[in-house]
Amino acid sequence: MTHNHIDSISSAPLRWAAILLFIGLPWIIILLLKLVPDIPDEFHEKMEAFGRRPHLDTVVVGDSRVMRLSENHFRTRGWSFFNMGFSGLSPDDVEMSLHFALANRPIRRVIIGVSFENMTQSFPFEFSRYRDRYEKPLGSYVEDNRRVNDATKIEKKKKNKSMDKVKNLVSNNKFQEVADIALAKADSFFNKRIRGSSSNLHMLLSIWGIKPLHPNILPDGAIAYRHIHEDIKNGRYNFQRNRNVDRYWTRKDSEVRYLERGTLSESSKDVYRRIFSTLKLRGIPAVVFETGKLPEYQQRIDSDPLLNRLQGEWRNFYHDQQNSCLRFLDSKSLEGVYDPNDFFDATHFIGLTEHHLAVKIATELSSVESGCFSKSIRRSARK
Amino acid sequence: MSFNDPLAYALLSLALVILSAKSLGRWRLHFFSAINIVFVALSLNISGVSLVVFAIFLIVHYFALRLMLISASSTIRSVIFWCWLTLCLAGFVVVKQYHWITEFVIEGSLVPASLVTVGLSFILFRQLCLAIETRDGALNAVPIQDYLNFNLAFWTFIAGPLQRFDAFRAQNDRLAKAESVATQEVLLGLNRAAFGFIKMFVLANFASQYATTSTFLDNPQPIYLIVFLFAFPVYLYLNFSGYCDVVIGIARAVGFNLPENFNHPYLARNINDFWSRWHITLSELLRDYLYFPIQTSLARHIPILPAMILATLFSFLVMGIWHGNSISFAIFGLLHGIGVVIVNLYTEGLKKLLRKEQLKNYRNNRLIRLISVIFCQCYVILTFLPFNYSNAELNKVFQGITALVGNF
Repeated sequence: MTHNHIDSISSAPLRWAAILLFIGLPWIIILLLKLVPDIPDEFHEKMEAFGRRPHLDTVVVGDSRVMRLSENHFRTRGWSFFNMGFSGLSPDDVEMSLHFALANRPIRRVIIGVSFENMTQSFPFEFSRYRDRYEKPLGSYVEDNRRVNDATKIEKKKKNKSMDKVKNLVSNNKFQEVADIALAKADSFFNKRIRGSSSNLHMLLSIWGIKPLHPNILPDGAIAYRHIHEDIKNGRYNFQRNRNVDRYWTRKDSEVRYLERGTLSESSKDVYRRIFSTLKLRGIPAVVFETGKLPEYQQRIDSDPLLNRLQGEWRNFYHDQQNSCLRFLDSKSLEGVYDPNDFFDATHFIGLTEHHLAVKIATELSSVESGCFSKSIRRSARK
Repeated sequence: MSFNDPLAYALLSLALVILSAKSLGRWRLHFFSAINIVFVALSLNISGVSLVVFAIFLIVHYFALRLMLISASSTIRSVIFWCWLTLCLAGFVVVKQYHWITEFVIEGSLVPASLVTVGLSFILFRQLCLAIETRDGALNAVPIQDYLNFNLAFWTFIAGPLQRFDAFRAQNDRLAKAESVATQEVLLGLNRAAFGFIKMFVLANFASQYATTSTFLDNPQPIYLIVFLFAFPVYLYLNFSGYCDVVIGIARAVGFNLPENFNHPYLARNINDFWSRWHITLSELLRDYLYFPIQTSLARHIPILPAMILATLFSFLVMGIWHGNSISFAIFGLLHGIGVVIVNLYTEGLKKLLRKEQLKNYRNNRLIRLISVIFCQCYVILTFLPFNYSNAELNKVFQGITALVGNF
C-alpha cells in the first residue's frame, strides 16, 4: 500500500483499526495457544535423551508397559541402560526402534517387553505408527535398515562408519525437531497425531519456544508419569475408574479386536523372528518378558475360550523362539513380580513392581549373557 | 518487566490508545507521565528499596542540574558537575554491585538482594548527557515534567535507544500540542513494532535454545561448535534489535521519533564500522561525551596518536564496564577497544602506504570486503563469548575444542 493510498482512505478509522488490531492480536494468539493442548512428546524427548547418552550397552524396547523400567536397577551391574519403549508400539515399531538403537550405539544386551494384545491380526496399528518420525530425521537410513531382513547385510552396513557419522549428525540432535517440522506432510499439519506425541502445531510452538513441551521423559528414557504422581499425591487420582478392566474391553481399539478374526498376526510373528535372528547372529543376549497386567484383566482373558487359546498360542511362539542367547519370561516365570497394588490402571504400574521386575530381568539377562557369551566363544573358536 | 508480560503489554496498549487520542489535547502529556511512572514502578517490582534508590538518583541529579542552571560561573558549574558525577558513579558502582571494584574498600554486598536496578544504566547515561550539556551552558531550562519523561519514558526505560534531551524535548512538545500523526506513520510504526515482537519472541527465542554450552559439549562436532559460537550473537542481535524495533515502532505510531540503534551490524567490515552499526546511540554518546573530550584533553599534553589510543581504550573500557557488573564485561570492552585501535592504526598505515586512488580501490574491492567482514565478525563472535558464558563454561568449551582437534 503506497502512502498516497493510505492518505486517500479515511484516515482516522484506519488508524484506529490498526491500533486495535495491534492491541488485540496478541490476546487472540494467547487465547488460541491456550486451546492447543499441553501434550508431552515422548518421541522427541526420548530422542533428545538418547542423543545425550553416547555410551549405551543395554536397551529395553517395547510399548508403554515397559516404559517404567529405569537405569537405577541396572546401573549396579555396571550396565549403561536406556529405555527405548514408546507408547502404543506395534511389532513393526519394536523392530524399528531396536534397529535404531543397534545402529547408533554399541548395544550388548537387549530386553524386549511383549504384550499379547500387540500380536493380533486385527490390531489397528499392525504397521508402524512411528515410521514417519523415524524416517524423517534419519532420511533413508532407517528405511534401508528396514528393508534389510538379512542380518548379514546389517553387519555390512554397520561397518560403514562414514554413513554412521552422517546419520549421527542428522539424528541425535536438536535439528531433528526442525527437520521433523520441515518434512512434515502438509495434510498432517494439524490433525495427525500418534499416541504419546504432541500435535505438529504443538511441536512447532515448542520449537519457537512459545509453548514448551511438557517434560515427561527422564534422562534414561524411562517415563516419569508426573501428572499421575501429582494426582495420586493430591488424592485426585481415580483408581476405581482407571483400574476398571472393562474400559479396555469397551474402547474402540480395545481387546475386543481379538474377537474379530480370532488369529495371531503372522506378519507380526515374522517381525519377531527377524528380530531374534538378528540378535542371535550378532551374539547379543536378550530377555523377552511378558508385560504386566491386573489379575482381573487376566481373568477376563481366561474366561474367554478364544482369547485363552490365543494367549497360549502367543506364549508358545516365544517359548519356541528361545535359544542360547534368548530367554522368554512368561507370566509364570514372573510370578510375584507384579504387585497388583502398584497398578494405576489395568496394565501400567509404579512403585516397587518396577524394582522387582528389573531385578528379575537383570538376573535372567546375566545368566543368558554368560551362556550366550560362551557359545559365541565356542563358535568363533570353531571358525 | 518485558513486553511479553501481559501486564506490560496491557500498559503499552493503554499508552498507545491514550497517546493516539488527539482529542485529549495536553492531557496526553500528563497521561504519558503517569504511564511512565506506573511502568517504572512495575519494572522495579514495586520494591520499596528500588523505588527509593531510583528516586534518590533522580532527585540528586535534578538538584545538581538546578544548581548548575542558576550558576553564572562556568567554574562553579564544573565543580557541581564533578561533585555530582563522583557521587553518582560511586552510588552506581555500589547499587549495581560491581564487587570487583567495591571489594577494594569493603567486602560483600552493600545493598539488599531485593534491589532491582533494571534501567539504571540507561538512566545514568541520560543523566550524564544532560549534566554535560547543562554544565556547558547548552541548556537553559529543564522542566520537571520533561525531565521525568526523558528519564522514565516507558519505551526507552529498560534498554534505550538513548536519546538526547533536546531531541526528546522537541518530540515531547509535539505531544503537548496535540499534533496529529499521519496515518501512514501509525501503520508503519505498528508494522515495525509487530515485526520487532516476532524478532524478539519467536526468532530470538529460537536462537537462544542453542546459546548454551551444552549445544557443543553434548555434541562435540565441528558443526555444533559453529552453531554454539553463532547462537549467542544471533540471539543478542535479534533480541536487542527486536526490542528497538518495538519501541521505535510504538513511539513512531504516536508521533515520537526515536533514533535508530542498529544498521546491519554483522555486515561491518571492521570493529570501528561495527560500533557505528551496533547500539548506535550508545556509540555516539560515548564518542561525543567521553572519547572526544578525553582525546582533546590528552592531545594538549601528548602526541595525537597516543592520545587517540588512550582515549579509545578508556572509552571502550567504560563501555564494557557499563554493560555489566562482572569483570568479563570490562575485558569485553577492552578487547573491542584494542580492536578499534588496531583498525585505526591499520587504516592510518594504509593511508600512508597507498595513494588516494589505490586506497579507494582497496576499499571497494569486494573480495577484501568479504574477507574483512568475515574476519571482523569472527572477532566480534569470540569477544561476545565472555559476555554470555562464565569462565568455567568457556574452559569446558575450550577443553571440548582441544579434544575435537585431537580427534582430527
